[in-house]
Amino acid sequence: MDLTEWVKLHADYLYAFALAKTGDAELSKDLVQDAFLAAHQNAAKYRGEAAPRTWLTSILRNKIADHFRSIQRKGRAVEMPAEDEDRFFENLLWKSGQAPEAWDESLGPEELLQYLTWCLEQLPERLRAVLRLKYLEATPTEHILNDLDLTAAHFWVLLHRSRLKMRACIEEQQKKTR
Amino acid sequence: MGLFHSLFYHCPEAVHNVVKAEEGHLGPMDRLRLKVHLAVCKACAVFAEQSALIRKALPDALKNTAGARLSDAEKRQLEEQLK
Repeated sequence: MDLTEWVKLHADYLYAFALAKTGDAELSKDLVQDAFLAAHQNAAKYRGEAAPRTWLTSILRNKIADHFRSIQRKGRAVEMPAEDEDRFFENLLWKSGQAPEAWDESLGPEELLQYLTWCLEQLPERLRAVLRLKYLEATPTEHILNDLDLTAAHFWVLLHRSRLKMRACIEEQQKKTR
Repeated sequence: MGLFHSLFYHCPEAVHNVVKAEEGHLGPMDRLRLKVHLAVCKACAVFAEQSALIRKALPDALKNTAGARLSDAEKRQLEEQLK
């Protein structure tokens, strides 16, 4: 087992996972560190039956559970404010002024990336961590649901609301630069 | 639910299912209903088109966001502790 290699391969994933669970960047770094140290101490127990990432994630899950136990609080599922939905729709239709408009022809991939990066930074950190698990780490949806204790319905709502927000934000950014 | 609603989604539902469809989590019947909705609702059609572009750009954009990952220094520190 090469733990330093595992840091390179899995630390970002574990960090995004901890952040999605706790919403606290500093705490998440500590928890990831604790998990790796525990993996180091228990290296002899690893038989290679589970994929390294799965094994590390299970250790981290325990560390996160220990943390919530120690502060005598329960972890809360990632949420996205319901008003985000009201912002866009009324009576099951797009609100006037909120219906998506075509972007300018001039919007190329470079600019889109730039706007999107800015818009992502306006999202709550926990939600961004969920998006990272899904789109950057390409985690299978079933794993995300299981590891984050989310229902499928809740997860799709998180994704579609964040997509609504990103789209509207890009349109706003574009209007500003006209 | 009337015939209208069984044939056509309303817009919030369409938006929800656009994102599900992107990930291949929408059944054939729902895909068909979505297609019908997008054919008659221009706003949702624009949404679907732009949503796909956003999805394509998301991995790179997420990489670019500040604090998205542990820094190289933080990883090196981690590696040092494991030696």
